Amino acid sequence: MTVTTPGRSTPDFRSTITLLKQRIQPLLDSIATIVVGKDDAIRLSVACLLAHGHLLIEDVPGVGKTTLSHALAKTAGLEFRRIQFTSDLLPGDVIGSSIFHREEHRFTFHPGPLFAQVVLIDEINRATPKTQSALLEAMEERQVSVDGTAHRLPEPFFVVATQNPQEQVGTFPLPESQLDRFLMRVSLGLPDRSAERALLRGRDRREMLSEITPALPDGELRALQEAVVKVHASDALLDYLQDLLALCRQRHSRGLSPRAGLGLLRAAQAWALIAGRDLVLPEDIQAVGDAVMAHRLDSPFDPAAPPGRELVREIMRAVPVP
Amino acid sequence: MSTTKRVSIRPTRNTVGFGALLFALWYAALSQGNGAAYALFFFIAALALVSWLHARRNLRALTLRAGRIEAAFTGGQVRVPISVTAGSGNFAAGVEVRALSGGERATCGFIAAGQTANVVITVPATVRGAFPEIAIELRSLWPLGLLAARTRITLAAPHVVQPAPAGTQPLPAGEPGWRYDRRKGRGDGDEFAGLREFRIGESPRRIDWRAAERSDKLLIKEWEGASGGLRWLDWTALHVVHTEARLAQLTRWVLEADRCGAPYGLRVPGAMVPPALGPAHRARCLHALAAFPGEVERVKPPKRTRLPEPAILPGPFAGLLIALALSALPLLSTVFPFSAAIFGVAVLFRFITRKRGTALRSIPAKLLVCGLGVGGVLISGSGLLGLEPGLSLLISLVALKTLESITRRDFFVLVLLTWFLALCGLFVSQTLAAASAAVALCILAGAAAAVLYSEDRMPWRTALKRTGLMAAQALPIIALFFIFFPRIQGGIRFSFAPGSLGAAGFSEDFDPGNFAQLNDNFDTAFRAEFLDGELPQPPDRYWRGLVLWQCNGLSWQRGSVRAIEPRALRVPEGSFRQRITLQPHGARWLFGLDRPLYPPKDATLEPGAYLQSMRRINHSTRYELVSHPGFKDHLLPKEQRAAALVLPSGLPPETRKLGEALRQAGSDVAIVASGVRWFQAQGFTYNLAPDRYDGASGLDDFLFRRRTGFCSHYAASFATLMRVAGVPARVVLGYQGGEYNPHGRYFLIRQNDAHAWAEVWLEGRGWERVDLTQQLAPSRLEDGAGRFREVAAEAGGAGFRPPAGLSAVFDAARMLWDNVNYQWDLHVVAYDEDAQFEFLARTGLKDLPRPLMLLGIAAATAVLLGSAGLWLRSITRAARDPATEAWSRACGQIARLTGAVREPWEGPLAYAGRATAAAPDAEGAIRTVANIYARIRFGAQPPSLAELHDATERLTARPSLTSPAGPARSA
Repeated sequence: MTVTTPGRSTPDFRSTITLLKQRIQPLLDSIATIVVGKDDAIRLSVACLLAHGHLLIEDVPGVGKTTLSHALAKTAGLEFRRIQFTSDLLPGDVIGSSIFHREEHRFTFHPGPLFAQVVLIDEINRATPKTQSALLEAMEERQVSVDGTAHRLPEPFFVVATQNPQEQVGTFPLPESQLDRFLMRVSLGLPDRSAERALLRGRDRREMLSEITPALPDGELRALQEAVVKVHASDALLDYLQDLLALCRQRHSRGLSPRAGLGLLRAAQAWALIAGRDLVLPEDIQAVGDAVMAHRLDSPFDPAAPPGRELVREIMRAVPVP
Repeated sequence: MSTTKRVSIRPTRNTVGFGALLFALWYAALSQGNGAAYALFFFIAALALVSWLHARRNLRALTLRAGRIEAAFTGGQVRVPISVTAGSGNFAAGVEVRALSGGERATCGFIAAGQTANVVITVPATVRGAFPEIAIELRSLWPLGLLAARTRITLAAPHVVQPAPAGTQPLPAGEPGWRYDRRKGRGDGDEFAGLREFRIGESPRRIDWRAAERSDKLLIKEWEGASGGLRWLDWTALHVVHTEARLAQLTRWVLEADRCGAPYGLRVPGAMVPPALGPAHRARCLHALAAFPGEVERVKPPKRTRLPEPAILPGPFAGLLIALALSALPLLSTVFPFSAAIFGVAVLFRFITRKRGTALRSIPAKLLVCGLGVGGVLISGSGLLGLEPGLSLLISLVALKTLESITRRDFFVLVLLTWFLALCGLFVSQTLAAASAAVALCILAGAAAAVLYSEDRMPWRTALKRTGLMAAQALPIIALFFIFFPRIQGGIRFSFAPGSLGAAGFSEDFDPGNFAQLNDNFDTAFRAEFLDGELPQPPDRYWRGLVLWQCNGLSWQRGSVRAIEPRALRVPEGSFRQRITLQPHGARWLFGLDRPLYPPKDATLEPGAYLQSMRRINHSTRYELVSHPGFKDHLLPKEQRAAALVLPSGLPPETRKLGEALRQAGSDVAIVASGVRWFQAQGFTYNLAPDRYDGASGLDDFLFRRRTGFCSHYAASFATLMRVAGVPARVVLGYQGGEYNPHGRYFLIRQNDAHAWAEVWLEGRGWERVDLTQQLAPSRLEDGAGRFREVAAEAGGAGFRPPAGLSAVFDAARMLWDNVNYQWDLHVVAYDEDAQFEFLARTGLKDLPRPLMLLGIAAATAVLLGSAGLWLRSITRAARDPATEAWSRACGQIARLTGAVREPWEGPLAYAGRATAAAPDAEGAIRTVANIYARIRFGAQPPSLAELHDATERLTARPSLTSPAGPARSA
C-alpha cells in the first residue's frame, strides 16, 4: 500500500477524480436498481465503505437493510456473509474456534462467519455484551485473536450491523465504545409512495440480487479507498471541522472523540469523492454529519438531553461556514 | 454581525488588594532606602498601568456573529450560538460572553488573531415576541486580573419567543372528510382510508363519482392522517378573555394539533395562517402568536445565582509556584531554616498535587500551620522585630497561603506575594543580576496570571511574550517615576547582621592569618572614579582603609587613640577628587585614595587619617572625597606620638635586641633605612599560606627562623621593630592597585587587592609609608588585572580560565560587564534622596513645589500611556479577509437576483443550489461564482481573487429576477 499524505492534491489528481467518479457511478446506479428510492442511504453506505468505516443501520424490519448490504457487497465484488445475532450466540460462533484435530494431534482454527469481506450482523443488540465485545477487536484491528494467535481478517473488511430501535425488550443496547466504532449510523425509512409502487411492480429482489454483476473491477475498491485520503482538506475546512467538534464538546457531556473527528473528515472526503470533487467542502461535512455524529451524541439515559439528531442539526446551524 | 468599540475598565476586588501591595512595596523600598527596590516597586506599578491598555485592547475589535436561534417559549431559555472573531494583529483572551438580561455565560479562553471561537449562551425568555437583536456584554479579567474590562454591543440575532402553552380548553374537533392537497398545502391526511356514504349537507364536490358509478350510492373517499380532520384554531372560539391567556391556549392547541398529525389553521385578529401540517407550518403559527400585537407581560426571570469563584487551573498554578519558589530563593539564606523548610514543603506539595487540587481546607489545619510558622520564629529567640524574624514570618505565611489556595482570588494573592518576595530579595543583594532575576520572576508571575485568565488556553510563549511587551512599554514610565518621584526618608530600617552579607572585608582585630583569606576572594570591594580626569600614578595607588595603633607583635588592633586628626586647611595642588561606590560589607569603614583630606557626608576622619561612616554599610553606598598622595603632616599630636610608641608587654627577646641594635643608627631616617636594609639582607620569601606564627614568640619565629610570609607579616613586624627602635609607627590596612576600566574610567578594587603596609613618623616629613612588600616581592604589586589572572590560575580552576589568545576578548567582555554593573550601582542602586536632590538641583527643578512635581509626573505618565495606547490601537483592527469580503459581496448579488439570502451555516455550493432553485435562469452564473469561491477557500490550488471579482461583476450586470417585495428567507 502506498503511503499518502492526507490533504495533498496534485493537478493530475483532479483528472483521476473524474475517472474515479465514473467508476463509482455505476456502483451507485446498480444498487439503486435494487434498493429503490433510497439514494441518500446508498450514497452514505458507499461513502462509509470508501472511508474504511463500519456501518450501523437502525430501522424497523423489512425496509431493505439486508438487501442494501447484500447489494453493496455484490456490486463492489466482495464476499458477503450474514450472521443473525441472538441472545444465546457465543463469541466462538462469530469469530470461529479451535477444534482438536485427531490425526494431527493439534488444535486447528476453524474461522467463523466473521471471515468475510462484508459481514451483515443482523439485530446486533440482541446478542449479549460478551459477543458484542468480541466484535470490537475485529472491527478496530481488523483481526481476531483466538488462543493467543492473531488471525487477519480479509481485506477489505466491512461490518454492516442492523438494529431495531423500537423493540427494547430482551436487547442489550450497544455501549458507547462500540457505537464509536461504527463510522456511520443510517436509517432507511419507509419508501415513499412511488418508490413502493416500483417495488411492488418490480421483480423479486432476491432474484435480482443473484443476477447483478460486480460494478467495480478487481482491486478498484482499494484504489478508491486510497484516493479518499488524498481529497484536499484545506485549513479553512479543518477550522470549520474543529469549530464543530468544539461546540459538540461544549453542548454535550462527552462530546466527540478524536476518532469521531477523524471519521467525520474521512467520511466527508469520501462524500466529496463520490460527488466527483477533489476538495472537501463544509457541505460534505454537513451531508455526512448526521450519519457520523448523531449516534455518538445520543444520551439514552438522560431524558432531558436532546436526541443526537436534533443536537447535530442545532450544531450544524450554529457554526458559521468560513 | 457587530464589532466591539468602546471598552470600559472597572476596578475589581483584586484592585484593592493590589493597592495594598503597592503601599507595602513602597514602604519596604523607602525603609530600606534601596534604589533597586524602588526600581522594582515602580516596575510593578507601571506594569499595572500598562495592563490597563492591554485589558482594553483585549476586548477591542472583536467581531460577533449570531448563529441560527431556535424559537423558545416564555419562561424557558433562548439558546444563542455566537461566533467571536478576534481582530487582525490582536488575539483575545479570557472573554466572557453573556446577555445583558442574564442567563448562562460562556467563555472564550483564547482566540488567536483573526481566528474564531464558537460559544452558546442562553438568554432567559421573559417576554414573548419576535426580536431582532440581543444586547451582549463582554467581560474579561485578562491579563493580570487587576482590572475588569467590559464592553457592550447590540448583536443582530433575530429570534422568537413564543407564549408558553397553557389553558384547559380541549382541542376543537376536526372537520372530517376534508381532502388534503399536497400541492396546495392544505387538507387532512394523505392516506386513503376507504369509501363511505355521502351524508346530506356535505359538499357535493367531494363525491367520488367513479366509485358512485359502480355502486348505487353516492360515495365519498375518506383520507386519513394520524387522526381527525381539519381543525381551525380560532381566537373567537376561546372561553378566556385575557389576551395572554388566549395566546397561551392557542399555543397549546397548535402543539396538540401538531402532535395529532391532523392539518390545522390559525385565525387570530389581524392574521390568518392557512391550514397545513409540518414543522414549518407549526413554526409559522407559533410565530404569529409570538408576534401578536398588544401589551406583553414579562415573565419573572429565574433568580440570578451568584456564581462560585472559579478554581485555580493546574497549568498556570505550576508556573506561578515556580516563580514563587524562585523569588523566595534569595531570602532562604536569611530566614530561619525552620521557616524555609515549611515554605519548601508547602510549595513542593502543591506543585505535586496541583492536578488533584489538594488544598488545606480545614481551619484547625490552617491554624496548625500558622502556629508552626509563628512558633518557629518565637522559639528562635530573636523576637519578632528585625528583618530575619520578619522575613521568616512572611515566608511562613506565604507557605500557608500556598497551601490553602483554591480559588482564582487566592491565585491573584499569590501573584502579589510573588512580587513582594521578589522585592524583598533585593534587600539581600542589589546587583544588576539579582534585579534582573527579580524582574524576570515578576514577568513570569504576570504571565501565569495571563494564562490563568485565559482558562489555560493561551500558549505560555504568547503569554510570556505579551507580558514582556508590557514590561517594555512600562520602561519609560519606570524611568520617569524613578527619577522624579519624591523620595522620602523614613520608615523602620531593619538592619542585616553583618554575617549575612557576603564580603565581610577585614575586621578590627587584625590577624595576618585571617587577612590571607581575602586573597582568594574576587568580589568587588569598591570602585573609584576620578572626577577631574587625571589618574594617580601606579606607585600612588594605595587605598587607605583602617589604621591600627595597638601593637601585639605580629597581630595588631585598632586600639583607641583619643586625639583629633589634624585636617588640611586648604586643598593643595595635585589633589584627586574621586567618587567611590562601595559594596555593602556590614561594617563602617570607608575607603579612599591615600590620604583623604576631608571626610564625606555622614562620616568622620579618625585618628590615623582614615574614614569611618556613621552608619553600617548595608547597601551599596556612594560618596565623594578629596585625597592627596603626597600630603605631609606638620605636627604629630602628643597623644598620637605616645600611642605610636607603645610596645606590647610580651615582646620576644631577639626582636627587642634587633630593635635596640637598629636604634644605634642615629636619626629616625637612618633607623628606618637600616631597618629596610636589614629585611632586604635576610632573604625573606613571599608566601601567601605560611604556617601560623603563634604566641609571643611568633614574631621571633618569623623574623629569625622561618622568614616566610606576606604583606601583613612584613608590615606588622616592621612597625613593631620601628617602635622598639623608638620611631613612631603604625599599620595601615587598605587596598593596593586595582584594575582600571577604560569603558567606565574607574578603578575596580577587588577584595584580593587587600594590602597592609607600615607608616613611620619622620620629623619634618610627616607620616611616611614603608611598604616592604614592594621591596621584597615587587612582582606581587604589579597591575591588578595581571594579578587577578595569576591568582585565578593559582587557585586552580576556581575562576574561569579563557583559552590562550582569547584572553584579550575575555578581558574586554569582563570589563564591559563590570562597567554595566558599576553604572547600575552608581545610577540606580545608589540613587537615593540625596542623589535625587543633587540631580534636581543640577537640572534646576529643585525649587519646584512637590504637588506641582507630582502633577507633572502624572501628566507625563498620561502622555506615555496614551502614546503606547495609540500604538496598540493602530495595530488592532477588526479581522479582514479579502476572500470573505468578496464572497459576501457575491452573496449580496445572488440575494438580489434570487431573493435567497445565505444563511451563515450554508456552504457555497449548498447556497448556490438553493438560490438557483428560485431563479433557474441565472443558474450558470451563480454556480460559477460559488465554485470559484469554494476553490479559493477550500481548494488545493486556489484561483486568484480576480476571478471571483469578475464572476461577481457578471452577476451584477443581470437584472433582478424577483419582485422587490423582499427576499424570502428559506428555512
